[in-house]
Amino acid sequence: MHSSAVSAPAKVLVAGGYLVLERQYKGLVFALSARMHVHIQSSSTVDFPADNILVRSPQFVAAEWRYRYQKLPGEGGVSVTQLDR
Amino acid sequence: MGFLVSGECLLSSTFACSSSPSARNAFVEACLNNALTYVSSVAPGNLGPAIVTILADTGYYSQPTEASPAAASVPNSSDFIRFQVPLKDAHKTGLGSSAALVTALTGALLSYYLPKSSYDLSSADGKSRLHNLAQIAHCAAQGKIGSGFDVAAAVHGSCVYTRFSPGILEELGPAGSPSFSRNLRAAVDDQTPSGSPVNGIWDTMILADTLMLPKGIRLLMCDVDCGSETVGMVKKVLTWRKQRPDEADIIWESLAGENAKLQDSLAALVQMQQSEPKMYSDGLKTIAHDFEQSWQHKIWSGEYVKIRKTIFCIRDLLRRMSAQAQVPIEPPPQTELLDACSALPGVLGGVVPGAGGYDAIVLLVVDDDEVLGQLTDFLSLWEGSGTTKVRALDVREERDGVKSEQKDYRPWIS
Repeated sequence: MHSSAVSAPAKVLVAGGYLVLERQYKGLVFALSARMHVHIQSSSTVDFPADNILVRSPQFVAAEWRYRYQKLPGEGGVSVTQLDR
Repeated sequence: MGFLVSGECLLSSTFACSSSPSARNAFVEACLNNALTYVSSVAPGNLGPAIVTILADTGYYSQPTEASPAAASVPNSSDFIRFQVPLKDAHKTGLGSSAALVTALTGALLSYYLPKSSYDLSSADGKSRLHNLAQIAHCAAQGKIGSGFDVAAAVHGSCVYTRFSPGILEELGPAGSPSFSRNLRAAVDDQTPSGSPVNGIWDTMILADTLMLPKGIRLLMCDVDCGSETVGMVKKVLTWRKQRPDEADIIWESLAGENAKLQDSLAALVQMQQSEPKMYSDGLKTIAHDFEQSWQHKIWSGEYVKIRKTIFCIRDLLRRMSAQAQVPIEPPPQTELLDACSALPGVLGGVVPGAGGYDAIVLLVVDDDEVLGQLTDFLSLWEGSGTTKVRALDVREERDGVKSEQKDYRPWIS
């Protein structure tokens, strides 16, 4: 089954708060060891609609969002609509 | 039901969830809209159904106390904890990173839908495109253009950051507008090699591998009481800065100077640790065991003393900013706590990070079990004025930004 997983770190801005909003000032930002992980895989069930993307956060109760994606006309790109449960 | 967007966010607002399970999640939607649009522009045939699982490391949320419902850890999965509660009840730590979520989700979507031949997250090009796309998605989700330091760190790891001009995203137009796909593609593909300003639209500067701590020194974050109203604070400070530019400039320029000194001192310590390891570690041992007055006399390398003084200067300037802008950036309870921690053996100093307020403080400490033990004991007994309990968080600084994972995520993935 095709799948991908990626993680990215949280951060702490140790120096440069407020200053970093302006281009002439720098911020010193450290990445932290607390990371967010995202895993994506294809569906294993036959009746999962071809234009659906299900997003879930299983560490928590009832944290799930199902979307239908559609290509917009012309060069509008792709847009998702949440499907209510 | 509506959007819950967040700036400096907390775990529950990272997921933008309220009590209704079908409440919208602004960050997930913005990632999907932007990443799928980009994928469709690069490889239209590749879109398809998918199941996305989001997991947050333990550092994000508080440890359960004896009083609260226990979080059951799942066998065979040491990194992630299950909470038997809905998101809205997850205690907030003040670490939160919507930027980490947006970066991981955008990176995963690109890696999933595009073949390695056209997108490789581990390459400089992959990081550049991910950076651009994640900045766009994050701003879209927040409904405003922030400085972007958090997305930069999520992509590139620890770094010295100079923001992009907010105007560069004005040409983009909202998602779904007539030339959105073409504009997005152009903005994303515009190369922003880390570390150099470019002639393209992304005039940011991200110096990764430039900001680091020497071995033997670490960051320690201490959670106080979360819920600083960052958006409101930033607004107030910026209003004051506009109204009193001369007053504000004095503080800004002084802070910039002290921040540069801090960066230089850290670099000097890294250099010392590599070229004069004995002097470096003798200095560390002295700091770890002696109280401030004595180690200032004993240490013949001035770098440690310099760093300590620089941090005190930075804090003094932040308190001046607090007073003049009338915003609680380093409010008295945090001053008390920081001063007390800074007096302990092994603590070089600490600050209120980011926009300040009552979010977690960050300390620079000698990475030694005895030092950390004394510190955590001290914190557990801390009863500052008007704050709740203080707790060291199980996090530390990390060099790495975004990366592909080969982990086994079972049983979290269905």
